[in-house]
Amino acid sequence: MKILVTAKTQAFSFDCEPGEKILHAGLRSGIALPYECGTGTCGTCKARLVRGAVHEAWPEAPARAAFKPDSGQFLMCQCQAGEDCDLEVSAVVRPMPPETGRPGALSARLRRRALLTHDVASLELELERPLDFEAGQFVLMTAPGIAGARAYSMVNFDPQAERLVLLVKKKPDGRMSEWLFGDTAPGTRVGLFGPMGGATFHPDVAKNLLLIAGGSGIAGMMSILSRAAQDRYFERHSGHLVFGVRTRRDLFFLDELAAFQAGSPRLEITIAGSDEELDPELAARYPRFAFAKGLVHAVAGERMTDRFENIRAYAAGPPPMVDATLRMLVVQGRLSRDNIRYDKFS
Amino acid sequence: MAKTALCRTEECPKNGMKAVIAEGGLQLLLVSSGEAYYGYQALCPHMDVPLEEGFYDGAVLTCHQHLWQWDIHTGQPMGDAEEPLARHEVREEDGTLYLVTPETTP
Repeated sequence: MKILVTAKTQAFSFDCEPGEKILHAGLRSGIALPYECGTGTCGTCKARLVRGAVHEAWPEAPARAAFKPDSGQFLMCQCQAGEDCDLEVSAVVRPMPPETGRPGALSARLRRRALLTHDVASLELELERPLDFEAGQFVLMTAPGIAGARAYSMVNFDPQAERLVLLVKKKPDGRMSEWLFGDTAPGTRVGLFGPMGGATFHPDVAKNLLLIAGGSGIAGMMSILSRAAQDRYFERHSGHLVFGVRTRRDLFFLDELAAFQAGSPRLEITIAGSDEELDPELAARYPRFAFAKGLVHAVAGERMTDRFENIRAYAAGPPPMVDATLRMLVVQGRLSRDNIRYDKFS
Repeated sequence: MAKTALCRTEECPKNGMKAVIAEGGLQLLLVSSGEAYYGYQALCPHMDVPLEEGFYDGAVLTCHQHLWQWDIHTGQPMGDAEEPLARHEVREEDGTLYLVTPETTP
C-alpha cells in the first residue's frame, strides 16, 4: 500500500506492508517521522487521515484520549493501513541523514535472563541478523500471545551487534514484564523493531557528559558509557553519572560502573538514594563513588553547581523524574535544547 | 475596544505565569516580565501541552514536553520551536488584569 504523508514543509511517500505499522514503514523507508515512545502513550506520532482507511491496533492507547472525535487523528505507531492512504503530519519532517542506520523489523531469541534486583531484570537476546545502533537507543519488543509492543533500552554497545542486552522493570499487572519475570523459556522467539530514539551519544559531540538516570533508566547510560570507554572519551572530556534509586535494594550495576570508572580517570559517579541514606558499607566497597541522599535531579543540580559550561546532558527514567531533570537542566543549568537529550517513555 | 477582567494582578506572580480562562472559554496564559504583562495561548502550538506546566525564567518560556522555547516579549520561537505563540492583548489597571479585544462593529 502507498502512504503519502504531507508534513509542514515537505511531502513523502512510502510503501506499507499489510499488518505493518505506518510509523515503522516510514522509518524503515528513511523518513524521520515524529515519534517518541513508539508504544501509544506519548502522542508525538499523531497524524490526520485525509484519504483512505487505517486499522487501529490499540483503540484504547492512552495518547488517543486527547484526540477529538471525528478529527481523523490517529497514532502512526498503532495503526496499519487498510488501503492507500493520504496523511497530514503537523510537524517538520525530514529524510534521515544517509549515515544513520535505518530501523527495521527483526526477530531474536531470548538467551538469558538475570534478576538484578527484586523488580529489575536484564535480558540477553540473540539477533537473527547483526544490528547497528547508537548508544542510548531502544528497541520495541513484541512477544508471543501478548498484545502490543514495549520499549526497552539497550545496555550494551557494539557495532554490528549480534546480541542485545535490555533492562526490564517489573510493572504491576504489566503482561510483558510478568511474562519476562515468569518462567519464560530460553530460546523463545520475540519480535523487535529498531533501533529507535534520539537520545543518542556519539563521540563527535566532544563535550563533557552529564548522565542522569533514575532506576532502570540506567540502561541507556550503560550503553553510552560503553561507547565512551571504547573511544577513550573520558581521556579528553569529563563525565558525571548520577544514578538515582529509592533504597539500597534498588541498586544494581555498581560493579559494572566501578569498572567503567577504573578505566576513566575523568568519570565521576554519584549514587543518590531518595528514601534512605545508602549503606556506609557501600562507600567502603566503592571508594570512588560519591553517595548522596535526595531525588536524583536535585542531587545532580547541587553537585553540578557552576559546572554546566560545555555540557551535553542525557536523562532517562520514570516520566516525573525526567520532567524534574529537564526543568533543572533548563532553569538552573541554562543548557540549550540541543544539549539536552532524553526519551520519555514509561 | 472591549475589556474583560481576567484576574487580580497579584494572582500572576512577578516574573511568573498563570493560566486563566476568559469569558467565552478562551484559555490564556498570563505572563509577567518586569513591569510588563503579556497574554499568550495557554497550550503549546506543538502538541497542546499546557504551557503553565513549563519553565519560565522571566524572559524565556520553555514547554516541558519537547523543550520548545519562546521569547516572552515577542512570542517568537527560539531554538527548536517551529511556531510562534499567539498573542492576546492584556492590560493591567488598578490591580486587575484585563483582556483587551477590538470592538466588533455591529
